[in-house]
Amino acid sequence: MKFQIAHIITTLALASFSFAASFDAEGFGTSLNGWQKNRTASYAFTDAKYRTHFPTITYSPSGAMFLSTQVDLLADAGKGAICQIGLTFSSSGVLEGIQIKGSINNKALDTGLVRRPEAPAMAPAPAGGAAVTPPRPFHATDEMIAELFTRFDAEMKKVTEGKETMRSDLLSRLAGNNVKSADLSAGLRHNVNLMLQHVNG
Amino acid sequence: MKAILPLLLICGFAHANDALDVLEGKKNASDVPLPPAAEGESADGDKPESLVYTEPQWAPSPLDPVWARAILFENVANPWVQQIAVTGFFEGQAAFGKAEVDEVDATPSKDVDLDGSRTTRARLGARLRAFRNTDIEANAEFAGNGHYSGVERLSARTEITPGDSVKYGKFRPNFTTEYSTEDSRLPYPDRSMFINMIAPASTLGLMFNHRGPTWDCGLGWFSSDAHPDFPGFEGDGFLAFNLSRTFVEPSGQSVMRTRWHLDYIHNLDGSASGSNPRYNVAGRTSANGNQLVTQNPAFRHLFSTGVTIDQGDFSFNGDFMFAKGDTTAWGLTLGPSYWLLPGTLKLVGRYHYAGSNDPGALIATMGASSDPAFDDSPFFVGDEFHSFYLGANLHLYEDQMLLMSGFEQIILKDEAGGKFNTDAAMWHTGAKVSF
Repeated sequence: MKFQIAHIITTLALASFSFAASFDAEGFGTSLNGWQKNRTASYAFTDAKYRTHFPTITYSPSGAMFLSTQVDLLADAGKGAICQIGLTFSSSGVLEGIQIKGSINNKALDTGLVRRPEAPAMAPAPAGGAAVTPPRPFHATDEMIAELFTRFDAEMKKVTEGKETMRSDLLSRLAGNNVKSADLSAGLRHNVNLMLQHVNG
Repeated sequence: MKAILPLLLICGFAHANDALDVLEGKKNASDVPLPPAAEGESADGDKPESLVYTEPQWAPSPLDPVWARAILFENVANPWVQQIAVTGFFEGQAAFGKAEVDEVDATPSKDVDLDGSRTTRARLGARLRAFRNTDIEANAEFAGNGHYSGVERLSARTEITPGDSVKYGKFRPNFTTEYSTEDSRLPYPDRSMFINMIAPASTLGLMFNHRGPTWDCGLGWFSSDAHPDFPGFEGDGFLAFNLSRTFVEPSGQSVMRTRWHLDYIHNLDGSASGSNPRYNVAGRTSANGNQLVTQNPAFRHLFSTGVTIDQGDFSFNGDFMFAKGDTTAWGLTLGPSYWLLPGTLKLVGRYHYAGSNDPGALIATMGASSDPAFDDSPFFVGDEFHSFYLGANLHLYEDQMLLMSGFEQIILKDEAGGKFNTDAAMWHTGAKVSF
């Protein structure tokens, strides 16, 4: 009897996870020059050096997948930047939430959680069959990413505020110290896009 | 407590019913509309924003992790000790030049060689932050030719109330901008001649300080004992008084900060003081004309007033000093500086003047150090002193590791004395490292 109950529970669990989203971590790593022995991938993107850590995947009881990874912007001088990208997917592989947290020059950065937006209500067709301009196609995931990086850029502005007026000593100048907002934003966006491409619903 | 605080704030601003609804969970705190802030006051209750001068920050550097190792322990949550750090300062200076002493009667003209290099300061110590309101500093100093020269400071500063503090132990009083500036932050090879001549020693003292938004003031007492390690109570000592005001005002596209100060020291012991002055040249003869100095300059009243101006890459320090006692002397320092490459290369200039009506009233040291406390330097006497210094400082790591080089021209007149006027020209070069 005990065996039967355990079998039923296992079957139900497997059944529930068979509907859960999954992530192709190996494929993600391959698109970033491949995972090294220390489970990181190092690569250059838009003239900046990055290191992405092997992602962590956890599932909620309902089958939702939480996928997170750390992306480091490597600077020759100073601390560079360390960012955590967190994505939440429904059991069917639909992106439900996304967030970036980070630390740049010892200053914390957090975009807050960007949730999946509701599709805008369709406007009623005008009477008389008059021609109307079709509405812009709505892609909830694209909207989320756009919102995420709008918030990220705003956070970066706070973190790097006054950087133009900073004084750079000789060693700082020789090493090149600036964590550029555009570089980091582009690098993180590249990672987010690749992660989304390797999610299987 | 964190949850109660927003509620308390809302209770202060929102209608009572709204506050009750929030407490009962019928409404979210964020949904309650707050009344508009009074004119000229922000919603946080702050006063209208006044102009603030922001000190330029340093960009990250490869040496940041190395310098961070000086902090051995840091835990702001610890109720007893919040920080323990090692402190150190090394300064080496070299000078290359000569002083030409005029011919007087049968005494022929003479050249004094000023070439030399010296470890002018080497300190090692510790800094400790305790009880969340007390900063303790201790430094041992090795100076001159590398000899141990005692405890440079052993002091504590306790904040009694925000803005009010008391400092006690062995430390040096604030007097003039240059003497109040940490040696590691001075942009010149050494302090100006007249400041080195009249500034009192680091000694046992007690000082009350008040720091306000614009006005700062301090009043203290210091001992006349100048023991190199642990001075005790000796004589009546001297009183020190400081007053300063900071002005911040817009200037073109940037903000200019001007700090005016007035410092006064009353030496109650006169010539009997061991800490005022802080050197001993009595019984020695000067390099110009072998003039015997029978006693050290003794001043009862020391006065200084001046301004420091900071605006973007430009800074200026102007100080007027006056000393009255067995003799009367005065001095002036004008020191502009400009960042040619902000944070990396700084152009530094200084004009220094000192004068007296009394023969041989000025004691001037030339060479690797202009501080008569280094008694192995050749020293000169006169009654009118001019120094022109122009140099450049290369900052390898912030203000804490730099190379310095500059040219100095000195004119020392001895018209009231033996007329052994002296002209000197020298190159200075040196390095400073502090942590």
